[in-house]
Amino acid sequence: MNQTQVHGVQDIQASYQMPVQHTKYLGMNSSFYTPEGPKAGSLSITSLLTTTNDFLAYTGEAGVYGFVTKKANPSSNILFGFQSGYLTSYTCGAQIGEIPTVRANFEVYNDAGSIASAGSFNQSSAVSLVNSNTIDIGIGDFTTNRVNSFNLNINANRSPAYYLGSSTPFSVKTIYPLEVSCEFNITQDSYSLQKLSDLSYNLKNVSNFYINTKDFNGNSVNFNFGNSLCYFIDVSEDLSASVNSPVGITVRYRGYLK
Amino acid sequence: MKYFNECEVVFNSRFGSGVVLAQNASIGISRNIDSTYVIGRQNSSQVLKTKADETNISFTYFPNISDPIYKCFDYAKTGVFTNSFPESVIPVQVVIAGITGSFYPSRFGLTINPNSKVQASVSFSSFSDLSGFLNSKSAINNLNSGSGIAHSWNAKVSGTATVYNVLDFSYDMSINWNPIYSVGQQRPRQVDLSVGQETFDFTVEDANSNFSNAALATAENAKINITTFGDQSIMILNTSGSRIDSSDTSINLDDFVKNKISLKRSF
Repeated sequence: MNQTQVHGVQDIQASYQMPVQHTKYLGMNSSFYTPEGPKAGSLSITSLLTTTNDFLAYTGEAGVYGFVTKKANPSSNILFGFQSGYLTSYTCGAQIGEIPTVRANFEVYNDAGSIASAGSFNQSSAVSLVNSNTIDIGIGDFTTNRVNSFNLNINANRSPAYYLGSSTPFSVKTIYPLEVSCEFNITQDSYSLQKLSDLSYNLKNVSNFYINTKDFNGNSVNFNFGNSLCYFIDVSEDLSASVNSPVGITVRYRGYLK
Repeated sequence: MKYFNECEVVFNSRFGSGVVLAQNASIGISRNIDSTYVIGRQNSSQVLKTKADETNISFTYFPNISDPIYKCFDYAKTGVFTNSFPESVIPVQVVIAGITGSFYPSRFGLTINPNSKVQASVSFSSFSDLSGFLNSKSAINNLNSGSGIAHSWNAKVSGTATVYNVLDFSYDMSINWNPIYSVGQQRPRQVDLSVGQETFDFTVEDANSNFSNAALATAENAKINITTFGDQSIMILNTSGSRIDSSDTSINLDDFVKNKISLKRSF
């Protein structure tokens, strides 16, 4: 993507759709198809979380291009290519004992399929996988390293705009704000549950939300939102307790990026 | 009982003839009668005609290659009707499901939205009798492809208006016809074109805070050339001679600031 190799890819789903409509008319014996609606492609990638955390940077306004290739030289080995792909959702999930995974969904507003490459890409080799045994989560004053699992999601809805005379958009704008949601399960230690009666219009707004992880070499791979979150609130909590296991709490936060 | 695929709309004129890709069609006949009352009587004394009979037909359709219907309306703007009546080109013959008559073009509307087929809606008026009866179509209508159909992807805005980025466009032309009757005649001896007006609505990104002469001149020279997927002409709409009538700027959530510029022209 953007001439940089993406590592750790586990699964790719790529497609494009030509929106054709059955056109009928009075007195017809048989109808015909005509384009109705925008051309669209989509790309969904699942990868292991690496130190480069490749997709998180694409939540911005700029589109990306990319290629699925068989070999290092994309000019003659393209399986699928796309232009003007915009990240629409980013999900990172992790649980104890498994390598964290990332799922990134893109909508493609320009060409897609068997298209010409934009040259060779930079092969980077200095990446390593993230270790799920070293996860810290902090929200406000609360921090914990007793994380059983987490699921972080960022949605970026896009709005393409078209001029007459063109089938590709002249602009793709992000529909703000970007919604961030995070669900994590922790072992109950010092965490205090909220009260249902606290759920009102003045929900407790927390800041300084972060998830810190490390790769197997001890290098940090962090999701640090700092003060960039607007109105990050605790929307639900579950408590679970059973014989022979510690008390677990699942907490769900939802907010918006400024 | 007839189903829609048994009922075709056929346009016959010197501008071209053929089956129209109509989405709907209607025929309305007005006899224009009204009751008369006299002082002192509770009930109406008579029912009289107040105007001559008039038939209006309307249909929406997808313009196709060399659209003869737009050519018919475009021809009405030439002004020949004031000089050389009776005109041999208009009225035109329109057949809707076997019912036919001679019609004068009265309204043409066109809308172009991004990523969509161009759709037109038209109305015609007739001041003479209709003929025929509800009948099945006479021919088999098969179109192998939609390559000749008008589509926004092939609607090019050119001229100096290219400084504006046109997001959507609509056009409307209305023509008033004036039938002239002789005493003792139920049908007009001639039909004159009295007045016509066109409206061009452009939705663009840019908003002009004050309509200077320069902006006015720019808008005047816009041209919308609609072609087929094979680049054959369907119609060309030219705003030459028009004047800016209004401008409306709107701002909505999750959308661009849009400015709708409306141009008008009369003939």
